[in-house]
Amino acid sequence: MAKKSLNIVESPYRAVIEEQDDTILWLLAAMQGAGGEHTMVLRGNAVNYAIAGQGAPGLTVGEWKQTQAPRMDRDVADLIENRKIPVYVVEEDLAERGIASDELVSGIKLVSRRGLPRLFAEYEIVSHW
Amino acid sequence: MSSSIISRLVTKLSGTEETDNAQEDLDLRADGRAVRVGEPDHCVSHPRCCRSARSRHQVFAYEGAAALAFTRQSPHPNPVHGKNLAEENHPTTKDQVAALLAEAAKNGGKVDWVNCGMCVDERGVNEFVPGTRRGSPADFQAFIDASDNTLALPTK
Repeated sequence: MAKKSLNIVESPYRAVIEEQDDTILWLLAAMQGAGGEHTMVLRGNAVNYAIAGQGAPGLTVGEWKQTQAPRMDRDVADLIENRKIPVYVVEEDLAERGIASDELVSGIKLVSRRGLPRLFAEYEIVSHW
Repeated sequence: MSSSIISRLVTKLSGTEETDNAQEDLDLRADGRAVRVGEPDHCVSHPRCCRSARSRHQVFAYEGAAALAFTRQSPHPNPVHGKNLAEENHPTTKDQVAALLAEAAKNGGKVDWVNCGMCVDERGVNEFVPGTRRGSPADFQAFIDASDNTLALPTK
């Protein structure tokens, strides 16, 4: 029986070169596929992952081209729609960065900082990435 | 090569011992973060970790941390400080990982150390310290489900 795990992601954009560079999003997708029961909370600068329509065009170095550029918004949408991983965003962190909720990927849930402890209580495992 | 992840694992494991929870299974997730090597405060905590290793621990090393157990790491001298290879006795994380596994075994414990397969492939670090193994996020998920507690050590 998989343990219910809440994953708080705060460190985003470690690099934007290849499509696994949103490491924890990728990892959670893989673990959900392995039978996990995960939920994700984006906080701090990681709330930017949830903005729809962002892009990181493929890097080119001479004749070499990155053909599988990272698509953070696509990966967030994949977690929600296909992996059935609930994705929350801390609403105060959005506001501090001037990001409106209508800019976000469809299906994102908002949670206030005051609401986080209640959310924590619902999970057996809470990890801060 | 950074020994920071080992050091942070050590510190956390030491804390486990201090709180008398050493019998619990602990799932540890390590990510590679480039920091200083061989800091005294971290080094001294290493033996404390080994003493706490009588219980069973599980480590999933991903991204840069997948190179912690890479066997082709080599110590080097320090010409700036006028020290030869032997005098410098440069720390390598592969030796620390091997020592951690050995100390755990000596104390009747076990450290199951998994190196993320994709991570080692893209870095060319797929020669591991004996006793560690190649794995995937599925191992990571199994660790979580089988453990009493987990500890995430992410990249900052």
